[in-house]
Amino acid sequence: MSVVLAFSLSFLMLFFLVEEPTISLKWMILGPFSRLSRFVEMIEQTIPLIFTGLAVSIVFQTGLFNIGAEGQFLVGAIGATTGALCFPQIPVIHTLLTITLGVIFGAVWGGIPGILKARWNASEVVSSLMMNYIGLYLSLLLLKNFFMDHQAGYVVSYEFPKTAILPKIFGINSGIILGVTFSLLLWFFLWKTRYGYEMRVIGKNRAFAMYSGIRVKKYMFWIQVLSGAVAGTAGAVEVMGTYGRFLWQEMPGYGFGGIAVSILASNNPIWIPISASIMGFLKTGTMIMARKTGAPSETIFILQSVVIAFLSSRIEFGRVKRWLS
Amino acid sequence: MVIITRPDFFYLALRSSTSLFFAVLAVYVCDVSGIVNIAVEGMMLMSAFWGMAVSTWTNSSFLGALGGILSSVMLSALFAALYLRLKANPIMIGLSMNLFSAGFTVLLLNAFAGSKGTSISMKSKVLPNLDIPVLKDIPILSDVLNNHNVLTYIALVLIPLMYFTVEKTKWGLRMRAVGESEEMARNLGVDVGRIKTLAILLSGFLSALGGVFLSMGYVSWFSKNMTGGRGFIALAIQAFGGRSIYLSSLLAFLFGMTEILSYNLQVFGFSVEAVKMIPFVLTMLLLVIFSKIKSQNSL
Repeated sequence: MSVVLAFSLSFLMLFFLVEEPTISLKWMILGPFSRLSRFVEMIEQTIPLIFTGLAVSIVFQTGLFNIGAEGQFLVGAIGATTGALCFPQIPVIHTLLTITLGVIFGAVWGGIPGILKARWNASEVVSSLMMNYIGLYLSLLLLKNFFMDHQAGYVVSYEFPKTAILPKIFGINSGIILGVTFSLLLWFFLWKTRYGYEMRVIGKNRAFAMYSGIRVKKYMFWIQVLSGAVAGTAGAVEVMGTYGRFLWQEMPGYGFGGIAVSILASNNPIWIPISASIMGFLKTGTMIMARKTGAPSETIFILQSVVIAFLSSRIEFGRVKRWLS
Repeated sequence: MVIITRPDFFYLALRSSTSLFFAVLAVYVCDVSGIVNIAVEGMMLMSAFWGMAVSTWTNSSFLGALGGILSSVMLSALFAALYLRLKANPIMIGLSMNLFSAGFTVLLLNAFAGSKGTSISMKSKVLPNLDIPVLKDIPILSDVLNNHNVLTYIALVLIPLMYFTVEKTKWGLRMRAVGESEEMARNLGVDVGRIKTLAILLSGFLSALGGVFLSMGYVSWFSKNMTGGRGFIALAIQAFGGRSIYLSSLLAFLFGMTEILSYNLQVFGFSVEAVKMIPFVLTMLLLVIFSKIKSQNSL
């Protein structure tokens, strides 16, 4: 019910905000299905959201926050770029090493707020926000000084060698398989293992968890590392599978998009691929609308913000009715 | 580094820290009342946009500033409603508002000014600079303190004023009580919801002044994401300064100095990215040091 309300409100808002609303919204909703290439684009937009959504959801399950997926994504991407352009080009091994480097970069980026929280109780919200900006500028610094392809005409890295590129399945980045696998694994981890159970206990009641002997601080650190690693994978899969090079110059929005995805799936990993598809569809829709009508692609932020606001509010409809009358 | 000895360096530093002063104050009033407000960033951005837009349309900097303030206070009212009525997590609301402002301002910028980056076709009216009679005649001090934007003076006045309000008045006492323990405050007969609403609205107002300064004082246009993380830096500064708004303000000024210094570093050939990273790395270090000290004290 909240979901329906959130989406109808955001569409209503867009209707008044964009020029030629009927045409724009038609492009937005039908655009992703109007051509095969656009449909592929939609799936490719969904893939990074699966990973960042998963990264965010596991942290939310422990009652902590990860607002740093944005930075972890970028750092993971630049990590993979480093691997792709520096490691020897041996088939398979090169691919594995490249993706691993992206994962490690992401894990480190998530681990820093994690260790600060666990050891000195520094707010992970503030530190992960800072790490976003540091990650962005660090990636750009590395890109511009070491990996920039001056012949491309715009600021992008060199194209990756073939050995560092993920195979495509029906023209689609095979990272999607990895994403769905991750979501099953993390679901299993959270609901079927002792560690996952203890994590959820921490999320439900931190004080209780502490008294019952769960090593809360250790989890606080490792969950952020795991989350960073998953968000880093998103960056790695994105550069290795979809673009074949590093091409961002500002925050790509997958980290914050991941928060919307996670909330939409009520932080349950098993639902993440579906909610990521919904957000991916909306994102592609706005991108197509942007190309066709000139409305800015930042419109997606409005949709995401409404989803987050609505679904994190505890709306009791009986009360709303009373409120309105 | 000859430049730090020159008075105009301090003048520029004060100018560039103005919006951060307001942001810190905005975080401070919420923090005292026990609310984590990460929406300051979005509120600043929103008010920077509306300040620019309204001042261009009305040709009046005063009305522009008013428009900016109104937009941010409306956002903060929404914040209060979501937080207190619908019991949403304040961090989630903040996130949502920051995203919303980022999208909404670009969308409107495109609709009004036909641009997705900077409002080239819309020039905002700049709020006036003040020439203070007595100050004008004191040699070095006048170079540093005189002829600032009116908002810079308002910030400098608001810092002690907010300190006084929080520490010495009845309302401040209630805010602190709510911040310390909601339950206790409620038992003492304090209307917790009302105090929190007040703090959030005040925070919206203060953020607005910071945002309006950016687009109608620091520069005379609006550009996408022009707050550039200032609201977040304020959050970290406030975590460090805690209840001592003077310490926080001093840190904000330090950041202003860093900003001016970093422009100079850029001239010396440091890359843009390295320079832009400095304030965030600095904040991170502050946070580490602060948390370490605090956790050692609590042991």
